[in-house]
Amino acid sequence: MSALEARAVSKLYRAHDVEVLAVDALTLSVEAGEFVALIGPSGSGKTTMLALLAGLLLPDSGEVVIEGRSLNSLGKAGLAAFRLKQIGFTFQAHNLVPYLTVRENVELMLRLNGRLDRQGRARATELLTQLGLERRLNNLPSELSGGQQQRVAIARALVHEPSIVLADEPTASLDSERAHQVTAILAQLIHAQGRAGIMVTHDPRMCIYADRIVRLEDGRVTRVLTTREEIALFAQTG
Amino acid sequence: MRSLYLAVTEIARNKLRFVVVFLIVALITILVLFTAALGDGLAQSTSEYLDGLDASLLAFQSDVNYQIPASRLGRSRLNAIRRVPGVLAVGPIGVSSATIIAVDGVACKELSAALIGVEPRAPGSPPVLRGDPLANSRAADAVVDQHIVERLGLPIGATITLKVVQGMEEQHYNLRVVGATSGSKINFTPAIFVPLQRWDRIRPQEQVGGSGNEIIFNIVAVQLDGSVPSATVADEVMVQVAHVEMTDPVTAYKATQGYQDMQSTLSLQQGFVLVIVVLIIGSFFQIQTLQKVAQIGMLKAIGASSWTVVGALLFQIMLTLLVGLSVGLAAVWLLAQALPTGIPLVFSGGKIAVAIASILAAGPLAAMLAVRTILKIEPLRALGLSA
Ligand SMILES: Nc1ncnc2c1ncn2[C@@H]1O[C@H](COP(=O)(O)OP(=O)(O)OP(=O)(O)O)[C@@H](O)[C@H]1O
Ligand SMILES: [Mg+2]
Repeated sequence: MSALEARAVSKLYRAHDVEVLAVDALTLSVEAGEFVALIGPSGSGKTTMLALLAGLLLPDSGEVVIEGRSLNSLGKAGLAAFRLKQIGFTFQAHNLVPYLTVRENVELMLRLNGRLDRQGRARATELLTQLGLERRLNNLPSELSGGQQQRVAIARALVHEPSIVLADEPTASLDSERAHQVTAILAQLIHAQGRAGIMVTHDPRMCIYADRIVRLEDGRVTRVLTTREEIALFAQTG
Repeated sequence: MRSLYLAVTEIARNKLRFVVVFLIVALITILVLFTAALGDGLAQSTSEYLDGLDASLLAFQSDVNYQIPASRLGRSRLNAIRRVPGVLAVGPIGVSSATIIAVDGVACKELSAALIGVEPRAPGSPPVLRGDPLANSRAADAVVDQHIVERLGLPIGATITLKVVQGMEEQHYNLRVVGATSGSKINFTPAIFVPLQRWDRIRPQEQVGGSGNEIIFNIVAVQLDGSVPSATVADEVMVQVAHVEMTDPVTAYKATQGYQDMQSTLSLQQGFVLVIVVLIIGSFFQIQTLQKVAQIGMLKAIGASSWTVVGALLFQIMLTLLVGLSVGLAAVWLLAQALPTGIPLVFSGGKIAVAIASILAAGPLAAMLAVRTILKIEPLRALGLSA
């Protein structure tokens, strides 16, 4: 059983009498410990797919199954509880609560889960140390660089030991050196902790850290790269 | 507890912003409490004498709407009331006004007072704190309210001179202060009590020196023996005695000219202040919430429930109100200690409790707009999508 499975999911947006099939019968599965890069042109449905996988959107057809359970059957509250427990999320922006320190932002995930115990705190500190933030624990987000903020978000996405980690363009606002740093550590932690990770990115170079590259176009998978050679070549040439 | 944590941490890290709202609530608390105290104080100043009267019923001339100056009663009706079953004692009360101009023959600062004529030992006659009660129904004796005693520094036994206009002339009368009483204010002025016959001679009137035949006073205080319910006695009096209307002292002072207007003006003012609290607190937190839309979307996306966020908002509002209230209460307490006497402010536990409860009740009302905003924020927006 895969950690995550999307089975022929479709999502149709309707706005002003225009229908956009943002995700079109897409099937995808990700194993625990696997890090997948989701790429594709703007408007190809990457973010929509992420929202479907997180249960933030429900598909018009198909289903998302995580750890053997279909998200379609969970209600709104059930989905929130599911996200809280099973999903680690990083966003492009507004990742952190501005009035909480770095440590508090990470611990918030444990607090929300009702799991803020000694081990949890220790795990938070360890993660932040691995992410090179051990000297920033008591800083507020406004006192951090963009890359540091993304790293805090990564710590928060992992601290509650979720089965799925979803990252929406984690490097979009970073320079290339920081982007490499952040993606490398994200990949490393996903591998080490055995999470199923999916990262949406526009930057082919970041795909070097992925185990698989899935390319979307018009809501459909048009290309999948799995071997190290293919991935390395793609990362170099785009 | 997640909510409380978020609420308190946000306040702690944004002290300045919240201190401003705390202060607003504190100032509003002061305003609300002072308005309440003023209401009670003014009520007391108009009603103190009637409220403290040793009588369960008052007799008025009928059709005067319980206006004391308009009511005119005489001995015959007083006696008729006395004979109604259930009545223990009756006392005539005449109310007018006078100005004190001298103490022991030495001119003093002029002080206006209510001049109340009563029958010694009858209902309406004031209890004394010091000195002696009125005893002789003809003597030029007076029992004087403590406020006047303090203002003029009157010793018991002093002679006060009253100035009264009778006919076209200004008349002066001397009275000997035999005792001091308290709680006698009526129409905002403390009273001088004199025996009714003396009162009839010195009250302002058309001719100098009294009404001649029958003494006319204003109302009758009626004490009951308890054998018959007071409502029954009142009805019976109205049946047996012509042109008399009975009521209880509370109804009577509530009917005093301007009493209701004054109280309802003050209640209206308090109501407005509470509306202002709701609007200020409501808009402050609504603006805060609007500024936090992205953050709230993110929290919901990572799995925080709407109730966690709403709970944090409610905690913040209640904390704001509690802190503001405490500061306001402390300030009111300090101000009350520092107030000079004679200001009509009365802080009663009941009114303070009501004021506190209504300020706290403003919280949930104020929260409604922001709660709605929070509930409407989509977690999807954390990904830059909308449904
Ligand atoms: N609320 C909406 N209503 C209508 N159409 C929408 C809505 N949200 C997204 N779409 C459309 O759905 C398609 C997929 O959008 P999505 O944001 O998932 O793409 P994306 O691959 O993440 O693009 P980008 O790389 O620009 O972030 C786009 O054509 C977009 O215009
Ligand atoms: Mg996108």
